[in-house]
Amino acid sequence: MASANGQTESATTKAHKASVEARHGDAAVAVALLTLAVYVIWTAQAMPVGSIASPGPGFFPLGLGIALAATSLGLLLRSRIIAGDRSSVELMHASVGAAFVILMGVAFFFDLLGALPTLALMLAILSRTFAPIAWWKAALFGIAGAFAAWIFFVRLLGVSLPGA
Amino acid sequence: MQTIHYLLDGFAIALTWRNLLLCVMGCLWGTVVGVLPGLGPLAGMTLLLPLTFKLDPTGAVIMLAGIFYGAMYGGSTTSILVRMPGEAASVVTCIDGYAMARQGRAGPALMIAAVGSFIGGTLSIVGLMLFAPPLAAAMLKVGPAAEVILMLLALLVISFVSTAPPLKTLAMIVLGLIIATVGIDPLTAWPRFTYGSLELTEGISFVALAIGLFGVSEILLNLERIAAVHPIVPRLRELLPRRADLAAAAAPVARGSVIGFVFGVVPGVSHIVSTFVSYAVEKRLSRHPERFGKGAIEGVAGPETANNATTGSSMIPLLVLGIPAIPSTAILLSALLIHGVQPGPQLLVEHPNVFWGLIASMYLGNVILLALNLPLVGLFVSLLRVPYAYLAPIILLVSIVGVYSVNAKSLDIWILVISGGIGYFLRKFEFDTAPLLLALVLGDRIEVNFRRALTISDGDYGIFLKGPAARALLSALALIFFLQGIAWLLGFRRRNAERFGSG
Repeated sequence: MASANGQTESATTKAHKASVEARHGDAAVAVALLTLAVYVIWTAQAMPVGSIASPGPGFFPLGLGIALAATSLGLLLRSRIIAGDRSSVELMHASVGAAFVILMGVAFFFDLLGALPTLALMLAILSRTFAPIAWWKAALFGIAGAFAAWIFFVRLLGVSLPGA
Repeated sequence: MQTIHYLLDGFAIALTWRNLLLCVMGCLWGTVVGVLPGLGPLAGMTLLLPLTFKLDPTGAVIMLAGIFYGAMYGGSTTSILVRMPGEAASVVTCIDGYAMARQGRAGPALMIAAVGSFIGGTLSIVGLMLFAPPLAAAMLKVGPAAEVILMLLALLVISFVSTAPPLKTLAMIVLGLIIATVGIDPLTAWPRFTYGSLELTEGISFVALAIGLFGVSEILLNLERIAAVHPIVPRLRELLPRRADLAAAAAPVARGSVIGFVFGVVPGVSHIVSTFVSYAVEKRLSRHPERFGKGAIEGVAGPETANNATTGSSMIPLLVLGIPAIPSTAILLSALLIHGVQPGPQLLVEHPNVFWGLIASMYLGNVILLALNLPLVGLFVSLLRVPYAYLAPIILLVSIVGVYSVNAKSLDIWILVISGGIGYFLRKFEFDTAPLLLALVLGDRIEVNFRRALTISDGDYGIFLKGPAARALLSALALIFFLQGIAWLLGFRRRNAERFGSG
């Protein structure tokens, strides 16, 4: 949404782009959904499905799994045969990939390291990744941000965070 | 007369210093999240959800609703001054609003947007106040079978109005319904897709999924286009519109109020669709349609009024039926459930203070926003000067802590991050994720009512056809299927004809 006219793309976002045709992306999503559907159908069969007149806990997952399989097959067909969109979609700028990896790291270390050190590290690394600022400034930003989070969430709102 | 009596009671609740302060806080925070790209009303409400845990249900819903309609006001400011819509419902305002700003007429554009928003917002609250009580009384007579059909109807309408292709929307709805089955089966206590994990027995956290799919994915998308912002900020004395502007804006504001109110009741992306419809209507009715896109004040007045007019009417399905029409009202639903208040037809009977307190606070909130927004426009826009390299990490931090604080489970952070990544890819390929969220919210109730209805009827599916309510809803369902089928067929034929025509 931030694509205003007269605005210039920053240097950090220019490099390392990958682009794919929209129809290939649609097909990839359809295959992922189809795999999920097969898994849901397979797992639901191990639950008591009941009967049509008296559905059990597996009835809905089974029905929905079949519906998802049908829909994803339809999507696959649409992307390959009927209305394949050949426009190109840019994917995974370096900054997006980096942000996602850092967020996965936060989820992993949140309990292990404690919330505040993890969040301070996240702020420092993310700000350094998105803009060419000095490391000491990024570190200061991380510490200040984590301290502010502690004041606001832990002291003011009484939120209980691991290790805080 | 009774309505006025209840409304006065509502004002007595909303005008306590605590609730008034919560309303002001909600409106201000709503404007801020509306201004900032990457933070819409949904993320703004979720981020402050933990703050509401210590409040009573009325105070909580007053603050969250303030964020909801405050964001609608805030979104227009950046659309007009920087051509950067703060949230999706303000995209249309960019077209003529920014053109007016470039002609040195940012002040009148902002003023008309604010006044239109006020009028649209206020009229829709009047509608909410008048329509909700009789509708709730009628809904009390509806059984589980009719409730299933009603919710299926809501999901079908979502697929009907969604901006994405119907098949993609359908896939998102089914995916949402599947995610809703995770956890303990509500009728037999059988664990489904829990893999022996206690954390999964309560199901997938709606808040984590919502913030991931909308908030985190929005930030990831914005990272691809970090840009320097050069806003056009008018002086206070430049805000006053000319008499000709007021005359030109009057009819679009009136029409926008009606369009917004009607679309607000429709589940899906009603607040976004209403702005496009309003813009199209104004352009078609204009004697000079060629001015649209070049700074026509009608192109600002109509859509801005319409998007604010949806705020009141989108509360009708939530408060009366317990069905959130848009993801933002789904957060309100979550907040009410956390406080032990079940939205639906019983709400007016069991918690009249919540309902009428909310309505009164919405009247006050609209006045507060009108009074605060214009003088503080420079301050709000200066937020855009904070570099995104600092803003994005702060938004992510608040999202992570906000999501964790709801259930104190680190699993929710994993859900947030993974759904953020999935949301990024889905949105890249034009999948609309709002239907997924709404299906997730409704999934449990559809299943429980479906099975309950069959238990009542001893396995007879005829129960879904019995009763006037079920028959009326079923007819509506069939009509939508029929219209959707015709639309699909016509579109398919047109595409084929174009293909053959172009050789």
